[in-house]
Amino acid sequence: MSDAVILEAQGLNKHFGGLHAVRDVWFSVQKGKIKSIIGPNGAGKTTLFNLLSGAIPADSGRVMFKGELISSKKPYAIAALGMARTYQTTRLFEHMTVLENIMAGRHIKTKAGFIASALRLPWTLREESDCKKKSRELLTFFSLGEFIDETAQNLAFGIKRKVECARACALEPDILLLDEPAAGLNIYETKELSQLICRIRDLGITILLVEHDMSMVMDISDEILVLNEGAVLAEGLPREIQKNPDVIRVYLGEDEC
Amino acid sequence: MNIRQYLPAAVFLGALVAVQLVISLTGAAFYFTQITMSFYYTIVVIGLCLLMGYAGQISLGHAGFFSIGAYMQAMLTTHDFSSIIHSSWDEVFKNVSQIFGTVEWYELIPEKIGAILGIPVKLFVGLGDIFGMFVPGTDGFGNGILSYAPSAALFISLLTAIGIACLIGLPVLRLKGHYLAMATLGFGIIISTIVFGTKLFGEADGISRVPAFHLVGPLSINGGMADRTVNYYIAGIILFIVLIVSMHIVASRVGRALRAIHGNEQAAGSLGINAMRYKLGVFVLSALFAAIAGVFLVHYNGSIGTSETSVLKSVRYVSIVAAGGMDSIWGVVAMSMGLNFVSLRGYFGSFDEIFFALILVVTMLFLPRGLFRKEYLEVVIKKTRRLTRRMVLKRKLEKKGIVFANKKKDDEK
Repeated sequence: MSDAVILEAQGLNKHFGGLHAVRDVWFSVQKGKIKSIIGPNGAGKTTLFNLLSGAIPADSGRVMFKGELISSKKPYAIAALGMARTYQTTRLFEHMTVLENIMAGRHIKTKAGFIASALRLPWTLREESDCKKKSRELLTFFSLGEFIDETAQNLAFGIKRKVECARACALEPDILLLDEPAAGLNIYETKELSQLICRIRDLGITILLVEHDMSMVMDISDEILVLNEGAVLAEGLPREIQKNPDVIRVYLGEDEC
Repeated sequence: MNIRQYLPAAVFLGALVAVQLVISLTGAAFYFTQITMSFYYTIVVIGLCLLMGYAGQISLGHAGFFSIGAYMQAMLTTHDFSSIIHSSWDEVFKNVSQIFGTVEWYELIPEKIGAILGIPVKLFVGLGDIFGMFVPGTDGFGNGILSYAPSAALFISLLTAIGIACLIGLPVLRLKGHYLAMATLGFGIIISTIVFGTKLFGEADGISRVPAFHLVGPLSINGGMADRTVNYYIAGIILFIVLIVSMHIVASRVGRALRAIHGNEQAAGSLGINAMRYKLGVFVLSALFAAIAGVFLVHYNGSIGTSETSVLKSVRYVSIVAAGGMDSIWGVVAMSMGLNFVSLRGYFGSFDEIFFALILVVTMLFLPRGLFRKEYLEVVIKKTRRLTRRMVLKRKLEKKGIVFANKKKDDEK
């Protein structure tokens, strides 16, 4: 069942005023794979991400996740179904420590509410220490152990990226949407990130990636989707995409090559 | 669990007893009144601290929730309900419509309900006093009246506050920043206007002759001279319970969710946190705290006036939270106790409100993260620790006969 479809976009459209940001996009992501979305700036990659995660509503089209229609659901409900995401610009909770950020990521895995928390019922304490333990383990997995009690706003940019990634993984999602995780990272950090993404995939988490770093995309992707001006330009294996004349034209210009 | 978490709470209890002993021993018992009132106002401020400091949602209408608690409690315990108790539902509707000055619609409702159910209207018997909710008393003219017992009124008042907070919160919390501030400000003004215009709430006169609230045994909340010390402790303990509850919430999954929403609402949503639900939850909780303060303070003071509903009161609560450090409960408590006490003693004179506005401006300009913060304390601790360490080292070396000429060399060692 490794080729079972976990996420499917069916004819998604989105307009921003006169701009047709996403045009009739159809694609699917197979379980356990790394799929990348590439395209020039303004191709609609992030908009597509926002449509998938429910951050903005689509004008038309449907999103199916694990066989369930999610395009009318709120982002928090979609997250609770098992879809986690990161942002192009990191959105950590700046005044919270790294550990607290991760523990906030385990929100849907815990369930203490206002009354139980206010009374500090014994089971909430067990839940809390369990949550703390699991979060520590996750930080070790991401080799972030040394930053555990650091306030997020004091972290270096590369570390913030990793923490955001770890926070998304804390949901124990079925699919992880990464929006340009390598943006602003140096070559070493990018390499480390590639390995990390593969390790996350090995945990059984499907990955959908938007990225500009071509070498990284070609290295780790199982499949690539190319967007241009909001529409799907090509879809296929990395080596097919590399040879695709349309893709080359879009990336290198109109001239013959 | 972490015992150290409860250290500030223990300090609070210690301070409670210490202050009482000092005041009693020095014979300055008149201070108790202002301290007790400060305790109650601090409860409002703590609720606002959870809402503003942790969840990052401003409210300029908390004097409104305080007033709902206080005015409902005062009205229910002083108004004569005997006619309602002995009347049928039909008359209840008549009474209600008289209060609000409308006519006739009440006559239709019982009949229609009766018609739908297929029973004559007269079958709706009197409300009666099923739960012993009513107690006899006297009004200002010495006439016998039948009002709600304070304990029954407490539930009605708090439920009213919760209900109104839900109704207001649902639409208003969709707004952000300035818009939320303006909407809550509007709510505060509405409550103030309703109080001013409703006969039931005493219009501009307010409500007086609020009876004592008998708790258990000899304990009762009232403003009498004899019960001053007891009331100091009652208020202190109520505040203590509110503090513990708030502290637990802050250090829990809920507290984390609130801070996450404060940090970045979209990111919180992407983690499965239902922001609206938590924002509403903390809004209702803070409204409940405000109402609790109102309910008890009205029994302590024995009366309530329209000044409590004014928007300036809301601004005062906000400025105390800002000055205390937004997301530091204990800092806010310290700030609230200090400022309320000084204000209630009348040290600011006629410039009371100006003073609080000034505090807000100065805090926002120079100490945007508040006056009391752990970080500041940590700096002081670090500095003193280094200083003492250096002095100990110096003394040791001096004993060995090594004397350093200047500080620099000392550092190098």
